[in-house]
Amino acid sequence: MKRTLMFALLLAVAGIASAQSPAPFDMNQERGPERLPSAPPVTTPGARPFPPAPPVSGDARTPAAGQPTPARPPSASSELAARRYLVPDRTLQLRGEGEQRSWSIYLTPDQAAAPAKLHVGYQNSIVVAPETSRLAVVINDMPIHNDPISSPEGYRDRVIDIPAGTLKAGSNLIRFRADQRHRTDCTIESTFELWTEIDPQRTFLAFDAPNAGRFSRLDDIRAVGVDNKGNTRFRLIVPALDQLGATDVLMRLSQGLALMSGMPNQSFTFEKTPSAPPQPGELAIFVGTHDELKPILPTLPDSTRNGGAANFLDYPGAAGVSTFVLSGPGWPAIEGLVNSLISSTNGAATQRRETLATQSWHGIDTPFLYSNAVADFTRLGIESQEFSGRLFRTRFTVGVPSDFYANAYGEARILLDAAYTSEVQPGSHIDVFVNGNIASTVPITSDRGGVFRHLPIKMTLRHFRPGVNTITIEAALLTPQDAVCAPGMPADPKARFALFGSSQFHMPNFARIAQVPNLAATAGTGFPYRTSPPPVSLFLGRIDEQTLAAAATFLGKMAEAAQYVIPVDVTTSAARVSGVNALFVGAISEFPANVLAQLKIDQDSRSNWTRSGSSPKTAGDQSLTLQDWQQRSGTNFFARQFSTIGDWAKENFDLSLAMLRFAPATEEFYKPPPTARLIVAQQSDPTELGTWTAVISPDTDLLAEGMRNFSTRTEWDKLKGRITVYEGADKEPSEVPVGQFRFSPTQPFSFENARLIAANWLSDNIMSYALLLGAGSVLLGLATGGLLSLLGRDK
Amino acid sequence: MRMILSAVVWALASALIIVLVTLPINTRTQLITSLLVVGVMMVIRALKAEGQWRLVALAFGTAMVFRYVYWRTTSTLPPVNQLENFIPGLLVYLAEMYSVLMLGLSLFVVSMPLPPRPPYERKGRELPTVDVFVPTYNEDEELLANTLAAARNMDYPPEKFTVWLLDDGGTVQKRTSGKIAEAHAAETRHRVLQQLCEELGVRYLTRERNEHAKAGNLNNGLQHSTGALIAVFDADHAPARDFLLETVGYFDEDPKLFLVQTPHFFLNPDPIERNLRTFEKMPSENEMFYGVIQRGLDKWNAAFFCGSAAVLSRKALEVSKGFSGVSITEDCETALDLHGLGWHSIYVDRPLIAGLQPATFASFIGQRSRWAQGMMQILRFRFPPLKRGLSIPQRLCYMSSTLFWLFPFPRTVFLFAPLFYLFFDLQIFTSSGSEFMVYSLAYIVVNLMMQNYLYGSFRWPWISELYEYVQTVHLLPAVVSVILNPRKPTFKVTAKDESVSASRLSEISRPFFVIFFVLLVAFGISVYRIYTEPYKADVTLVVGGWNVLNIIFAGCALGVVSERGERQASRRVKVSRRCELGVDGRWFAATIEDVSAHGAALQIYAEGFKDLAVGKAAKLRFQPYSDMPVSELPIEIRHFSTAGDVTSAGCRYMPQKPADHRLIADLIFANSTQWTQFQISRRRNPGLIWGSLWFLGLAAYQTVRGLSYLFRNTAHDTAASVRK
Repeated sequence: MKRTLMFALLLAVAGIASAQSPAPFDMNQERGPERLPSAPPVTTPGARPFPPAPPVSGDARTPAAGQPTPARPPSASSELAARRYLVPDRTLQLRGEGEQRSWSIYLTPDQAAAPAKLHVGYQNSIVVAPETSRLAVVINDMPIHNDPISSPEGYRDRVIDIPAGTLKAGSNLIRFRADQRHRTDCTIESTFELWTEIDPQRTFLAFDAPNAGRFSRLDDIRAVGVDNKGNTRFRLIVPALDQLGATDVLMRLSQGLALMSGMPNQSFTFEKTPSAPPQPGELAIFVGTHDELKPILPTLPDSTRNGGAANFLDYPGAAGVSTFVLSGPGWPAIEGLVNSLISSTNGAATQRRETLATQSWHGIDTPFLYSNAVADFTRLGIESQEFSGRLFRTRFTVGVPSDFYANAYGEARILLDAAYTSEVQPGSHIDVFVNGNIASTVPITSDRGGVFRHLPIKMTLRHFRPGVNTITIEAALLTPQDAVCAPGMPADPKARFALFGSSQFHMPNFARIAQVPNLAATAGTGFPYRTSPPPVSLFLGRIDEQTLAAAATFLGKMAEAAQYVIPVDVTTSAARVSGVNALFVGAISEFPANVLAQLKIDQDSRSNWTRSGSSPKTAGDQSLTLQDWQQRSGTNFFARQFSTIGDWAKENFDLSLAMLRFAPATEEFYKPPPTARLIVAQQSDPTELGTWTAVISPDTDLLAEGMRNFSTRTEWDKLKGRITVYEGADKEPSEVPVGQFRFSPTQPFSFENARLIAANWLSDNIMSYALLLGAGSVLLGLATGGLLSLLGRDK
Repeated sequence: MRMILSAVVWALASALIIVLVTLPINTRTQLITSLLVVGVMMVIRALKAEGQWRLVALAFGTAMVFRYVYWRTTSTLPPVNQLENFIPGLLVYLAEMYSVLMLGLSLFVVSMPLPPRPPYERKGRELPTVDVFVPTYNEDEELLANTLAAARNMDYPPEKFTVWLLDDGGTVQKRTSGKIAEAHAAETRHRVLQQLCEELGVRYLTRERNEHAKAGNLNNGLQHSTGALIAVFDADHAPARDFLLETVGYFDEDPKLFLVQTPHFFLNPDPIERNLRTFEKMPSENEMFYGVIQRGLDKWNAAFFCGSAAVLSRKALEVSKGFSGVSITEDCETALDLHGLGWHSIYVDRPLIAGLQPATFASFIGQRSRWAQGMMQILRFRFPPLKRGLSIPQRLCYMSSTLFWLFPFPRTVFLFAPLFYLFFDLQIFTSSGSEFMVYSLAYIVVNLMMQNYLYGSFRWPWISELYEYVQTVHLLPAVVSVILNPRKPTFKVTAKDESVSASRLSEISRPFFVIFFVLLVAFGISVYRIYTEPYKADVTLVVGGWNVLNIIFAGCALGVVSERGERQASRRVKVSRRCELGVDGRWFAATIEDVSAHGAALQIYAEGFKDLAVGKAAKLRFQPYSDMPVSELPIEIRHFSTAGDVTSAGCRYMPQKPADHRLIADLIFANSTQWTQFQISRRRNPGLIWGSLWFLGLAAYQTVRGLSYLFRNTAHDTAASVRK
C-alpha cells in the first residue's frame, strides 16, 4: 500500500514551539487549484495541522530511468534500513582498566516500538584477563549486556535481545563500559595494553519492523543516525542546484538540518539526480520545484505543484527508506518551507547559552562556563565511584565562550573530593589533562591513606579553547601488592581509591575579549558568525556540487557549534564582500588576489599549489637555513651550556628564546605545502570590522573531500590558529598559529576584564611586561626621590 | 603646588606598580622579569650609582617584594580545611609579612638619610649653661673616675657647666637597707664617690629612694640643677673634649629643639665581635643604627634619645615633667612624648663619646632584653602609630623602632618551620618548585640586595640575621613575658666591667647547642628523605636548603657563645703623642703609640737605656689637651723589647689621685676624630656575593670552634666528676 505523508512542518515538531508565523503557507494559497486527490488540500494557515496522508509504500518502485543502480552490499535495502549503527565515531576503543563511553541516539516512535536486537562486535587485547574483565552495555539505565571480555583472536559478535520497553521514542542513552584487568602484569604501564575495540560496523540495533527505516515526522530527521564509520551524511538532491537563487536557500536548509540532527560527524553532498539509495546514516533530501523533481521522484504528490510542502517519501527504488522532500511550485515556496523548518529549531543569536550540545557523542550536554563558575562533578556526569585498579581515569567536558582569552595566564581549579587507602603508596599521583595535554599533577605523598576534601588542584588554562573542552582526571595508584604482583590475587580486590561527585570544577574570572583570527572560536561556537548582524557573505568559487557540499558542510558544522542558523548571502563576486563577516569557499585559483592577500596567503600559491603537489620550487627551498648551521657549529663549551639552560627553561617554564618578545611577531605570507589538500584560513577583513574565513583547496574535488574530513568531530576540533592545514586523512591537521591579531570587544568595559586582558597579553609578550615593570619602577624611584626631597628635612 | 604634583606622580607610579604586580601573569613571564630586575639592580649597584638611582634600584626591589607578597597571600596558604597545615602555614606567613612590614618601614626611614651635618661654628655667641649628668647605679669607682674626669676635661667655659654624679647606688634607701652587707656596701660607695667627686670638681647627688630607676634618678638631678641644657652620659660613656661645643649650638638655632643625640662609639668589642674576631674589620652592630637609621630618622624629625651621649633642653623637659619612667627604656619614651608635644630633635653623626660594651654574652643578652622589653612597653602604653601630636612620618618611624623588637617571633618561626615538614610531614607552603624559584628565590635575592643597598657598608650580609638569631633564643621568653605582664620588668643595669679571662662556654649557651643538634638531626632526615622519597625530592630540597641555612646560623652562634679568653681587657686607640718617660728620676723622650682604658704602648728613644724591668714603676709626663698644666701620670711597665735605639714598652696606668684620671681621660678621650677614623676604616661594603662567602667561611669556622669548646667543657666536667 502506498502511503504518502504530508504534514505541517511547524506543529509536527514535538516540543518546539515557534511564535513566528511562517510565510510559505500563505503563498500556497495563491497557487493553482490542482491538487493531488489522495492528499488533503493544503489549507489556510488557520487550518493547521494538516492531517497525515495515507502512506505510500515505495517497495515496488524502481530507480528513475537513467539512474545507474550502484553496486550495493548484498543485503536488501530494507534490512539495511532497519539497522541503526550505534557508534558515533570511526572507532570505539575502551582502554585501560575501566573506561566508559556514553552517548545518546534518537529513535523514531516506530523504531522504539519495534522489537530490537543489539548486535555488538568487538575484539580485545590478548592480555585482557577474561575472568576479571567485563564488557557492559546499558541502554537508558537498563543493563543489556554484562559479560566477560573474551575475544582476543578476532571480532566476536554478540546478539542481544533488547527487552521491550527499554527503547524510547526520542533520545536514548547508550553506555558501553569495559572493566579490564591484565592477565599477568600489575604495573601501571601494563594497563595501557588493555583495550577492547568495539567495531562500529558490527555494532548496531536491528529492528524487526518494516517501517523502522521510515520517517514520518519532522522530528524523525534527528533519527538519521550514523553509518558504519560513525558519519552522518545529508545528500541533497537538487536538480536546479546551479541556480544562484537556490544556493541561499540550500545553505540555510543545510544548517537547519545540521542543527536538527545534531550529529557529531555530519557532512553534506549535493547531487543533481539521485544516485544510490541512502545507506544507514544517510538522509536524502530532494529539493526542487514540482516540475524539477517529478521526473526523478515519481511519487511526488501533485499537491506540491500548487503549494509548498515537505514530505517524507520512500527513496526511489528503496522501499522502507524514507527520503525528505521539499517541494513547491517555485523556489520562493521552497524558501518559505526552509524558513519555517529553521525557525522551529533555531536558537536566538543573542541568547546566552548555558550548554553546548554534546549529547550525541558524550551522553550529556556540556555546561557553558562563563566567569567565576563552579560545576559539581555530578552535573558534569561524574558520579561518586570506587576503584580497585591501578590507573583510574575519568573525564568530563566543559565549555568556554569564544571570547575566552586566558590561555597564557589563566588557572582553573578542581576542588577534589577523593580518598585513598593506606595501600596506596607515595609516588602515586593524580594527573589532570586538558584536551589531551597535561595541565596539573598532584603527588600522593602519604603512605597512611588520606582523604582530600576539596583539595584545590590548580590547572593551567593554556590548552583550553572556545567550545567544548575535555578534561581527564587520571589517578596512577601504586600499591605494595602490585609491586609483588603475586599470581592468584583476589579477582576483585577491595577499592583503593574513590572519587566523589561532590568534587567541583571552578572556572575563575577570565579575560573575555574575542580575537580575530581564531579558528578555534569559529569551530567551537561559530564565532563571530553567530553574532554578526547582517547576513554573512558567502563567496563561492563556483556553484557546483563539490563547492556547495564543502560550503554546506562547513556552515552545518558552524551552525551546530553556534546552535544557530547563520543567515548567508551567497555571492560569486568578491567585490561585494567588505566590512562584513564573510566566508569564502572555493579552489584557490578562484580566489581573488586581494582576498588571498588579506588572508596572508602567498599569491603564488594560486598557480603553484596544485593537486599533484609537484611544486617545482619546493624541492630546494628549505634545505639551507641559518639554523642548520647554528646547530652544526654549536658544539663549543658555551654553546652547550646555553643549550642546557635552554632545555631546562623549556622543560620547567615552557620558555624559549623566541618568546622573549615585546609584541607578536609580524606574520609572513603563508605558502601551502604541496601536500596540503585543504586549508581553512581566517583573518580580519580590510576594514577591521569583519572576519573573513576561507576554505581553500587546489581544486573542488579536494575541497569536498577535505571538508568531509573536517566534518568529523575529532577533526573539526582541531581547527585552530589562523590557518589549519589538512594533508590527507592519515595525517593530523597542522596549525599555523596566530601571530598578530585584532581584539574584538564582546563585553562592556570593566576594569576587572581589562586587567585580565592585560594579564594575558603581557603573559604572551614577556618583554613588554618586563619593560612596563621596569618603566614603572624607574618612575616610582624618581617620583619617590622627588617627593622625598620635598618632604621632611633636607639638611 | 610642586608638592601636590610630586605626590600625584608618586601615587600614579605606585598604582601602576601595584596594578602590574597584581596582574595574574604566568610563571614564565615572572621568571624573565625576575631575572631582568635582579640584573638591573646588579648593574645599578655595580655602577655605584647613588642619589636618584639608589631609589630607582629600591623601587625595582619594592616591586619584586610587592609581587611576592601578592603571590604569597593569594596562592600559597594551605587550605583552611587542613588545620594541621593551615595553622603553621599561617604562622610562617605572618612571620614573613612582619618581615616585609619591617622592610617597608625601614625603606621609609632610610630611603634618603640626611647627610652628616657640617661642624657647628661657635661664631662668638654666648654659650648656654649646661648640667652634665652621669647617672650611676653600681659602676665601680675607677670607671666612674675616667668618665667624670673626661667630662670635666670637656672644652667649655668652666663656669658654664657643672658635672653631676647622680648616684643611685648610695641612696638613703640603700644605705639603710635591712640587709646589713648591702647597707654597708652602699655606705662605703656613698663615701668613696663623694670624695672622688670632690677631688675631681664634680657635684655628687643622691636621693631618698630608688624610685623610677634611671628616669627617677635623672629627674632628681633636674630638680637640683639649673642649667639651660642637660647633657647625659652613662657611667661608662666618656665624652670627647669637643662634645659640648659640637652640640649645644643647635639649641640656639631652633628654640623648639629638645634633643641633640650623638652616636655611641665603643672602645671594646661586644661579645659577638670579640668571639667572632670581627671588631677590627667589620662595622659594629650599632653602626647600622647610628650610621644610617638615626640619620634616616633625623630626616623625619624622629631621631630619638638613646639614654646617653645626648644634650637635652631643660625647657622641654619641664614641659614633659622630666624624663618619663613608665617603661624601662625611659630614653625613647621621653623622646616620644616630646615629639608628641611638638618638640624637635636632631642627630649629629659624629662619635663624641666613647663607651664600653658588655663583655660577656650573658650581659649582652641582659642589655638587649631590657631594650626589647622597654620597647614593648612603649608599644603597649604609648602605641606610637596612634599617639597624638606625632606627624605621620614620626608615627612610622617610631613603629619601625618599636616593632623591630618583635623579631624573636618571626625568627623562631623561621627556625622551626622546616621542621614541621621534615619531622611531621606537614605542608605549610603550597607551591610548585618552579613557582618557588620564580617568586621566593627572587624575593630572597632582591631582599638581600635591598638590605645591601640600604645598609651595605654598615652591615655586612647575614650579620643582621646572626645577631637576631643569637638574641632570639633568650629574648623570646623576655618579650613574651613583657607582653603578658607589661608592668613587671624592672630596670636592670647592664654590667660592662666584666671580663673573660679564660676561654669558656657562656653560662647561657646550652639552648644553642640543643637547637644546633636538633637542626642537624633534621638535616639528616632531609638527606634520608631525598633518597627514600624521590617523588617529593623537590620540596624536600627546598625545605632542606632552608634548614641548612638555619644550621649555618645556629653553627655560627655556637662560636658566639664560646667566649674567648682575652689578654687585653680593652681596645687600644692609636694616638701618637709626644711624652717623656721618667724611670728612677731619669727622663727619656718617648711617644705614646696607642692607649686603652687601662694602659698605653710606648716607643722610647734612648741610648743605653737599660733600667727597664717588668713591674717597674715609672711616670709619664705629657701636656694634656685640656686646660691643665704639664702633668705626670704614674704607670707600671708590663712588658718591653728593645731594638737598637728604640725600646717598645707596654705600661699600665697606676692612678693614685683623681687628677690622674683626668690625665688618663685626656689620653684616651681627648681626640674624637680618631674614633671617626677608626669607624671609617671598618666601613667597607664587601658586596653580597663576597660577603656571603665570607660569612659562610666564618660560620664554618665558628661551628667547629663552638663544638670544640663543648667537647673540652664536657671532658672537663667529666674529669671533675670522676675526681669527685
